[in-house]
Amino acid sequence: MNNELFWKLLEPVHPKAEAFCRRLAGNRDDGDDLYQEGLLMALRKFGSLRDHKAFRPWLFRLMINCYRNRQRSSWWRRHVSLTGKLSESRGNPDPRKRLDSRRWLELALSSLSSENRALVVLFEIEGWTISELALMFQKPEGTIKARLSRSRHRMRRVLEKYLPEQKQSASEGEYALQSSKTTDE
Amino acid sequence: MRCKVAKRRMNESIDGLDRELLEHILECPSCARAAEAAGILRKVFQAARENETQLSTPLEIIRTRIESKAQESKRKVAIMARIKRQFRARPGLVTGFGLGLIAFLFVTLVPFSYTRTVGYNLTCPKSDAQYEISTEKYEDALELLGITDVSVRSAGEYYEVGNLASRRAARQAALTYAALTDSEDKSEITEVKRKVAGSLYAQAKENYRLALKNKNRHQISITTEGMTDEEIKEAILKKLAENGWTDAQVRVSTEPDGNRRISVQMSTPDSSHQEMFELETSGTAEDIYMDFGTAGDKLDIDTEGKSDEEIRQEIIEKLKDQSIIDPEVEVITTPDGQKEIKINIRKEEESK
Repeated sequence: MNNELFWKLLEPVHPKAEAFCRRLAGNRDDGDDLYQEGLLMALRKFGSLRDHKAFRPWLFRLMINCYRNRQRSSWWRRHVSLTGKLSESRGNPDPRKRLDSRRWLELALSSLSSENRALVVLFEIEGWTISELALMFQKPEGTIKARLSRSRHRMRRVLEKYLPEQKQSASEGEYALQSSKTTDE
Repeated sequence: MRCKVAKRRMNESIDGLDRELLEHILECPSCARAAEAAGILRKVFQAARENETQLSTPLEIIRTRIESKAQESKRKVAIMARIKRQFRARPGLVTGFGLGLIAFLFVTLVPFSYTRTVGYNLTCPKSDAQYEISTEKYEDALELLGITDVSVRSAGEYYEVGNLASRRAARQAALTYAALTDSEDKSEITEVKRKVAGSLYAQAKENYRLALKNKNRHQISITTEGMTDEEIKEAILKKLAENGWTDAQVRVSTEPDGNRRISVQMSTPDSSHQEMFELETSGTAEDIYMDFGTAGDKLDIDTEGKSDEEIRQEIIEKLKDQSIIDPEVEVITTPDGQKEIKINIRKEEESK
């Protein structure tokens, strides 16, 4: 009976949760493994969930814990992605031209701790609000905002290293302006 | 606007840049670079949001997979969780286990060796008295005292008793000899020392070897009182057949001096090994004991890098383990590098 309820509650959340795991792990295969591991744990602990309305944050919290445990596990048990890191060479700053936005994203996220990575993915990609995140992480909203700010700073610093150096400030300004306009439109 | 403020604003939100910030970026190359990185970040997040069309696995497939896994790991998890709980509750357990494991590996594997007394030999000078006894009689007397599996041999002026298990047994044997011959006890007890490996692994290996040897040993005993040669032969054949030796050839004859000569020839049940035993019993002996073995008597000697004398000594040691005292061993290296080993064993009741 409990199992049935679990699968019923999971149904609307499933695609988002699976996508979240893939983003968190950095690739599809590791993400699917993480999702299954998280679901196994969730199924075992489902009995301890008192408020079924809080199923979604509870499930995501478990996924994050699973991911964090994986990252913390002993070196001989750690999963290492076979996907290579972004080339050390300085590439084109416009991801659309190289179709490597996914790799840029992975590079930026790899600079973060497992907890902050989950936070950024949930906020920037999954579209969770600050208050939802605060509820899930059981932290004040101010803390969540500060952590998001620090994470952005860190990701930006990492990306800066890979930007071409020959670009002049004027053109940089132009690029920033163009992007701004695109956003405004 | 200062760079610090500009960068803080960039961190606060990646969505769009206000006019004041843009003006600063146009003037400051460092902040322009930061803004460019922020722009990339914004684009990749936007692309990730739009790229939500990743195919998700149907829930039914996931459910089947998870439920079968949950069933498999249910028991495993329960045991592991219990162990983990125990370890978490007692952090000292991990250290204890670690140290215990190290100690166990050390005791088991480190091949330290030491010299140990493995038995006692007794040398009794033969007396001039008229009560001289035969080796068989002496062995019987010792057996009555519970001292078994010893080797008694007459060597010139002495009787030598080997394989005595303890000093007390050696002392008893000495007193028995003195009492039987009605002579003064002038015997000498010497310890038999051997270098043994101290590691548990080596000891277990040795015990296994001995157990295997004993497993392959059989003993039959027949009371011959009032029996004819033919009856003794039938009795021996019957006892051997009970132990699985069906193709034995037994010959029993009585010598003119009253001694009985018994010879038994047989091969192992798998016909891989042939044994020949010869027994000579005195006219007074009423019981026959035959102790015979098969594969357990094999000698394994590693001759690699050893001199002829070292090989000889090793063979003598190994034969001593099999109760064969004073064998004549000759090891010769032929000109073509082959080792020629000659072993001549003489035992009172058995010759190979």
